[in-house]
Amino acid sequence: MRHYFRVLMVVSAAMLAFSCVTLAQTAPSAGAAKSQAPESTHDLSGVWLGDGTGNNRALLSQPAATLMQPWVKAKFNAQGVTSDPDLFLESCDPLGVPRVLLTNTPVKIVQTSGEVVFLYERNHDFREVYMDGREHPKNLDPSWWGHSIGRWDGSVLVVDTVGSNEKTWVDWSGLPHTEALHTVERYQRIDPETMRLDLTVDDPKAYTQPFTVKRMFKLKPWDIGEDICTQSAEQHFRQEIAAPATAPFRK
Amino acid sequence: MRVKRLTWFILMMGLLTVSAQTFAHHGAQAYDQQTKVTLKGTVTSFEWTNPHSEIHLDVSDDKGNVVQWNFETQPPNVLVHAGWTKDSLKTGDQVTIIGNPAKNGAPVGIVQKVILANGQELMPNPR
Repeated sequence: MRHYFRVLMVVSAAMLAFSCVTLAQTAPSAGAAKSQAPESTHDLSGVWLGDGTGNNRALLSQPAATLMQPWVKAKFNAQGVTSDPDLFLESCDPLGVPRVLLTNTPVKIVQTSGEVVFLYERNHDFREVYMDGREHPKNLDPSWWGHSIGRWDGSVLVVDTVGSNEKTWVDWSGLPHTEALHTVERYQRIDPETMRLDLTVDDPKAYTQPFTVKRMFKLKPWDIGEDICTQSAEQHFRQEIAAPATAPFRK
Repeated sequence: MRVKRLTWFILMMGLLTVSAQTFAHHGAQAYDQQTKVTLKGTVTSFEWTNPHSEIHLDVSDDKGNVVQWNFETQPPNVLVHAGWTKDSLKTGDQVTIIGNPAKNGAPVGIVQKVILANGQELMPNPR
């Protein structure tokens, strides 16, 4: 009887020890599985506001300054952008990529199974990024927003855009580009409130090599506002403010 | 002579149009950023609109002459995040506006701060 009791104790102890080991092994693997789950690392949804001021005029123009091909330098300087970048950028035309990525107004990211959609407060514009594995179409007809496809590289959303027409500008300082413009955006949520964008601009017909910059975004508890550039509003503003502020004035 | 005058008129109108168009609605270049004016007056209208909201203010000078100042500020989507509403200013309100005036000397400016009659301060950008 005593012998059986001893055996029972040993078996029970062994079972307890085994169960503890099993628990210890499953706990971290459950955590690891959670950290790799798409819903935790592949979620960029929300309203984001980028850092910087004045639509980040210097962010791209600084690295681009030494990379401009002669014709780009001549066009950039002829525009007088260094003295007054506002002079030629004024219009209600769509901003396109990458200029829209530098605005001081928020963007809302919406994710569906096959797309990531960027809703920009500026001009109430939107972009669709196709996540279904398709390639860029061949013989793409250049357009204001070009064609964007995306994929996940670990926890980084990589957006690849080509096919922008030459009516858009690279940025708010007036960097020109050609239809060979190729933009790569890499978005990563580095904490619940912060998203990092690494932006690479490549246009071999305009710049001697690609250049990459970083911009940080903060999550905001906001809705997207209606910041629409309309001809009628523009006309009214010019009449009330712009014309009297710029025309010759005599007291 | 008449033709010459007409030519000048067309030329001047062209220049005026170009200068207004090139002002840009982000046209901080038109304002003297080094100078600030502080103006107390009566709101004649507050336009909560894109591309920039506008405040029109009647200001009396030392001699009792009333001058209408036109101020631009941020559009509604920015002002709401700075604590403004479309009712922040009403026609007839007595307010003080601190802003940068136009370089050309016209009574036009860009808002740096609005102080309401109750002392509340409204800034054009979220802090």
